[in-house]
Amino acid sequence: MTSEWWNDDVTLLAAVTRAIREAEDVPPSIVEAGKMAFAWHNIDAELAALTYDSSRDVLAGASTRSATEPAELRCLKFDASELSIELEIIGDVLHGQLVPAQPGEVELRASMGTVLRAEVDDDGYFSAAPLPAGTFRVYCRTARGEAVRTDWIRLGDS
Amino acid sequence: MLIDAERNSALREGFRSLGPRCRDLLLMLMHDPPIAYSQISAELNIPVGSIGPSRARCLEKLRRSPVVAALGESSAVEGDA
Repeated sequence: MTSEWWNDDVTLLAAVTRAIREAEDVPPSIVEAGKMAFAWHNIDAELAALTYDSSRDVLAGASTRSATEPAELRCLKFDASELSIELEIIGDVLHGQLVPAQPGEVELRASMGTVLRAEVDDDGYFSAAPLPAGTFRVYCRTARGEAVRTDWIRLGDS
Repeated sequence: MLIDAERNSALREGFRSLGPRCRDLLLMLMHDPPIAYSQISAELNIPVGSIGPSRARCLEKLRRSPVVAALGESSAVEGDA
């Protein structure tokens, strides 16, 4: 009977879930994908401040990045009150470390709407690839329930 | 299937018409892997015991949103619960 899914809370919730997942899978060019399913990230996810950016060191002349370096390396550190997120970007791969080390999950959300998800292992390590073009931010939820987001990260010609 | 696509689109539209608290709650309930009720309670600042009733209320709002209500009617649903 067709109305069963509609009348029952469990099946209705499952149907909405499928509907939203489906929208998340569509290419970012479809505007709807960019609008959906973001809400949990906005539930008081604490903004972690950028406290270190290797590309600024370069600009300040504190170090000189050699043109012969095989792949561009960029290190970033974001600090929230209880959690730091350290990021290392090598080419189009992101390596991350939560400090203090703890498990959880992260999502990279690009300004263009693409989403990359990664599990954070028990040592606090995660990686994601390929990195989205343009700007993105990292949302992190620890297994303990802390939610932190970084500011926007811009890659490329810095 | 076209019917599924229509239904999914209507469900998304209905979902978007909900208030932020309902959307947040339902999104957390949808989360894969599942989020513990204790965590949902902490995140949304609501007692664990009210998660179930809130879920029911939010889903009822979803059913009554015009696009989703139309789906229910088209599948010969009984009256308002």
